Amino acid sequence: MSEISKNRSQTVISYLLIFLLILAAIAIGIKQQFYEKSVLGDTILSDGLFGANFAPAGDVVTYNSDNLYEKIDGKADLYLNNGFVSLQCRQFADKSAKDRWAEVYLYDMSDGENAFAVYSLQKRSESSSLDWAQFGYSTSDSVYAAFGKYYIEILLSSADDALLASAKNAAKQLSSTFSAGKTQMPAFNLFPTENLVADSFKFINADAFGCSDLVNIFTADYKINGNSITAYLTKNRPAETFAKYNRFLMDNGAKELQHNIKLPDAKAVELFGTNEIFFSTGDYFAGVRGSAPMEDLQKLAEKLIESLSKQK
Amino acid sequence: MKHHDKISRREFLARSAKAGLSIAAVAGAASLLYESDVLNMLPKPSAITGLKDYSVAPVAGQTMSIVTGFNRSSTVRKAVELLGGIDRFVKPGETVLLKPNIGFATPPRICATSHPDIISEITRLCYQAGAKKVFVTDNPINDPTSCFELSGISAAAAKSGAEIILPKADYFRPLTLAGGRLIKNWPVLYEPLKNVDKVIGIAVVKDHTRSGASMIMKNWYGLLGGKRNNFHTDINTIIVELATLIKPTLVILDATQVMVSNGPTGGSASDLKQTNIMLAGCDQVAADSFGAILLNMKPADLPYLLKAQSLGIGTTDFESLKPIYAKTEG
Repeated sequence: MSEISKNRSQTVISYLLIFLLILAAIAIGIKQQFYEKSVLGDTILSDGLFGANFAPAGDVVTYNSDNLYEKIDGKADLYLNNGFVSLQCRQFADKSAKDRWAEVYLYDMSDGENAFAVYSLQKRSESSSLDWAQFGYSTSDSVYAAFGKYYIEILLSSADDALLASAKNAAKQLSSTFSAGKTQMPAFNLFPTENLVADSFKFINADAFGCSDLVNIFTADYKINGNSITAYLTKNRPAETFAKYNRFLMDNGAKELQHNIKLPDAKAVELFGTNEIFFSTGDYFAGVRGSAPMEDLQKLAEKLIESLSKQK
Repeated sequence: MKHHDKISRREFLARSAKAGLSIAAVAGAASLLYESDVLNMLPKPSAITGLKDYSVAPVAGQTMSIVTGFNRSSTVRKAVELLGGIDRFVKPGETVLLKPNIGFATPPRICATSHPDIISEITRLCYQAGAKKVFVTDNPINDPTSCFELSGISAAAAKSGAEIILPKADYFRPLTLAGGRLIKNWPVLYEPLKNVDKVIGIAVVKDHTRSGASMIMKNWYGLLGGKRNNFHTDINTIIVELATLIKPTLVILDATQVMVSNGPTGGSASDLKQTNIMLAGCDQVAADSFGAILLNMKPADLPYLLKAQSLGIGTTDFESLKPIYAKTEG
């Protein structure tokens, strides 16, 4: 009797375990159905992205860090050094004119700063801003935008106003699908606003100004008395960065100049016709550089120091 | 299962032992028949240690020509003429291989690839000189067929009578460059190079994220197979080794529109600068040194140029070659 009872309880437990396994399988199946559906390229770069007159010229092609070079060769490094996760590409062609096409490149750059980095480092000077985008512009034959962790390029077969309008719509559609909202870039607010060139912010993740020790640098351009000056800053180990950058400049033949910056860690140098003032203050390493008179550089440096001091 | 159907422990162990023996017997037989060295039993392609020298005898004062004009057909024709004409480079009955840059599936207007007008014109000149056959090849980054078609080079070749050689796996042969550090037993697109008499390199002037510039010397990268992106970490060395390997008959550097930013892919006309210059030459280092200036650099800014010069591949002092300057109407 006890043997029969034991067998029965084992059977019940077995059925229970099987039932639990089935439940787990169903749960996984349901989860997979909805797994990041909103950000998968084969859904986002959908057949209808360019409207009814366009059809996809092929499937979505996805690249990862191992094979990114197969699509963009030598430019892969720019992305790989800036948090690249994946690239999804798809071409759309006009149904009535196959040589009229647009190719969409959707880069997942892992976070907003990285997406902004690749966006800002490639920004074309001859361009028009996209009024609906926080970071976006178009040229006569292409559209570029960064939203959330994504960077998008849409390249066109030719400079074609109607095609460009469709590409802008597609970019807007993608942007709203991701619902990324505004990318927070608090560093932008640290730069003085006077004489600031609009939309000139950049983020350089590595090797800024040719120096491997300058990482995570934000830059902004200024126009002062007709001269271009670049201001820069980073929160990355200010005192150490100051010392290393100073050594880098001196090793490359920089000549030290007089300055009136009232900070213990501040230097002014001249290298290959470029004047530069750099310093560390509080949590920041920062500086200004350009082929401009030292007085102008100094004024901008003082304003930058004042702005940074408010952050302490 | 009824209680009395249950097998005894003894029987269970006996059956398990029999099953185990059966599996072991099959595995043992398989292992006896297995040939572990089967890949080595296949005939191996013979290793190559270099390529032939495709260059022609130097003629003083006719090493480099620089022609200004916006029509590529006119400027390239004039540039070759100033070096002594195509007859100096191609003899009747010879076979010629053109090596353009067709790395990307992009249209000619982006200037990420060699322009089809140059392919047409050089092919036409070669046939005019009596060439038996003109071939065009490259091992692109993107899908070869798309690259050849979208770049306009397939159509240009078809129109002018050149034969396209698309890269196939069996066209590559392992090659070891004597004294090379990177090109060691590495697959090279050998088949198209094997039997031709002359090789003409045709490149554009482009900014390049990794190497600083992509011009004539970097264009030979398209002859490499395998996972060649591994070389990107030592880009200057691989460019120099390729320039050591290939001794071209003639090089054409197209700077009609220069990709001054966002290279090597570009993507927008806004990455280009109209400079209306075409260069023909016999010294690939000198050609690239001139191209560096168009990218607002000095030859010394490109380490591979200095390295190549130190190895005697060519000179960065292109002015010492006394380039012939000219202008075309077109």
